[in-house]
Amino acid sequence: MTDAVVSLRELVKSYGRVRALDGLTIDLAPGPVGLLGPNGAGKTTLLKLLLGLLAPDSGEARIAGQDPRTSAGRLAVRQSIGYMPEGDCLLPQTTAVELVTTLARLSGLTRDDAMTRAHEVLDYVGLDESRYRDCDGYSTGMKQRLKLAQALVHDPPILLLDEPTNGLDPKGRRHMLDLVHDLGHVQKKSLLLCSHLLPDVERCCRDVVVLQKGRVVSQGSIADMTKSSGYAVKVEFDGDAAQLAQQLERRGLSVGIQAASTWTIELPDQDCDVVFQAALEADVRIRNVVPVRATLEEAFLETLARDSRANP
Amino acid sequence: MKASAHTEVYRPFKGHVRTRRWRFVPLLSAGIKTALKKRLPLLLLFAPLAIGTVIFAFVVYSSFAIQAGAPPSALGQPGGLPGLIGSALLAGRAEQLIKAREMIVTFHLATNIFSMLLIAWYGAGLLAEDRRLGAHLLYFARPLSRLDYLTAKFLTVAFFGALGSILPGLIICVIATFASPEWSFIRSEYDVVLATFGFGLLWTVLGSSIVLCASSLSSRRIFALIGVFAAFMLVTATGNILGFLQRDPDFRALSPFMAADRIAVFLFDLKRRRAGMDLDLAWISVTSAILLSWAVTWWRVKRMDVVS
Repeated sequence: MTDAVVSLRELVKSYGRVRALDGLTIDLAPGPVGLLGPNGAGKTTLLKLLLGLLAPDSGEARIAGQDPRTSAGRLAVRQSIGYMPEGDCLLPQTTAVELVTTLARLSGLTRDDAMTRAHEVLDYVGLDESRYRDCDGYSTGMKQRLKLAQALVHDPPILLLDEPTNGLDPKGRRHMLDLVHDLGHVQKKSLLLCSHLLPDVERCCRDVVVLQKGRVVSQGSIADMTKSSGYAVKVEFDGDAAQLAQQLERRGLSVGIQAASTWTIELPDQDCDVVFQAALEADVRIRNVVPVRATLEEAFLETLARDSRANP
Repeated sequence: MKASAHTEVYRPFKGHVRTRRWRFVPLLSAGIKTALKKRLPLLLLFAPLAIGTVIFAFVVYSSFAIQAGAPPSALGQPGGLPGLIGSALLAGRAEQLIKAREMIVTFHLATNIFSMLLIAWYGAGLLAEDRRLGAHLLYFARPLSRLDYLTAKFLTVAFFGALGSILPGLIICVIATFASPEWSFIRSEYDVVLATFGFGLLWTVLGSSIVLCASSLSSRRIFALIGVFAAFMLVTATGNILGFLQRDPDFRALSPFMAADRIAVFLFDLKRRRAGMDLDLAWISVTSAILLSWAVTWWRVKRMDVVS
């Protein structure tokens, strides 16, 4: 993959005897990518390696074509990346405007641009008058939004977001996910969303990388991952259920009954004409047919289980 | 680029992102601004220095003012009673200048502890709190080198150190200059001004380096504060006890703070004071303390920037 935003080759990082990353080799295309994995899978370690905040034991990591192991590469990487850390990391006795303005100036914006830009991104994340208050009294949601604002202030093309919805209430979570979705899909930023909350990743990302014990256990589009291994359809119908069951049984199809008039039917292939023929002969009217897909959670758990069986 | 309205719509940045030479400046100004927000410590820590400065400045001023009360015609006329009076006044002026010098030195040595308090208070949390809160992740996720970061932190604490150890001495020198007849203070004792600046700078650099080092080694601000004062007490007590037991003042060079006092005696050319330890040893002690502190701080900041 030549236009990869992130390119890792045999990346290894250990903390003492614990191997956090174990020969990671992946290429990530531009666009929103979810980084999934259970706690301790190596997600945060990977983000810190990409920023040059950690040095790898061996292997190579490139982000936006730069190698963060060198001093010059590290500075270039940090110029083109916005990083939202997982922890609080906000200094007390500092207002949101002061913090974001200072960080904008550290990124190379002029004083005037930094101030203007700080207000723009604080508007974007929805921090209103509270931006003039010290961060000490902020709620978790406000802190998360402030952290997103500081990551955006220099308008970087790449965003590394580490658990952006951590500790948020449902409303705050929805707002944060809206922002992340907008950044990834409308503003076309390349973002690496690190989370163990699968619905968050499912909502914001197109591709996912699943890590376990420092290794990539699965990588690809969410659509591919959630595709069932067999074919099944969910059918809603009006009419005689017993007749339909009989017709389906005659054709060797197994049926899972979800409700009186909503069944899941497993098919031998993608062709669901057989269902319509059975319905015709049973004098049943089909109202709706939709293919059944696994949720990302099911696919994720299945992937982890498969990997655990292969590498006990 | 102007913000036109509150829209909550993402607007791409149209300005320029420049690579600056002095990237530490925004962090320095933010550090000073944040430190100045707490008014009570500011008042409590600067009050003794301010009071001391006012008292010493008044004493210096009044002593010169009393002398300036003599008629100028009485000075410099040879022969007779006026000549004797003139000679006596010239001798008095010379003595007065020496007294002013002594007063300024006394002021420095008496207020050293307050400026060290100031440095410790404002410097103890600079690195420790950044690491505890994880704020260094925000800084080092930007194009900021660890030298920029360290420079910003050092200059933040040095700013307060300089306010406590250079500024008051310079104020007294200015008062002495204006109060002395015919600017005699600056003309005859200009070296005191240089020594005031030099010693204040040395004390600031020494104090700031040690406090930053303690901050880099501590997980909390309070631990850094305790560490600084424990180190201060320990080396001072050890130096004094060993010096007393061995009857050798050179042992006092174990304490870079006492060594700095010895350097003050040299810088202000105080012949009447007891010299104490060897001057070279004093310089070695102070320089070693500064270099060691910087080496440790650099190593710790390197771990904050890139953990290998």
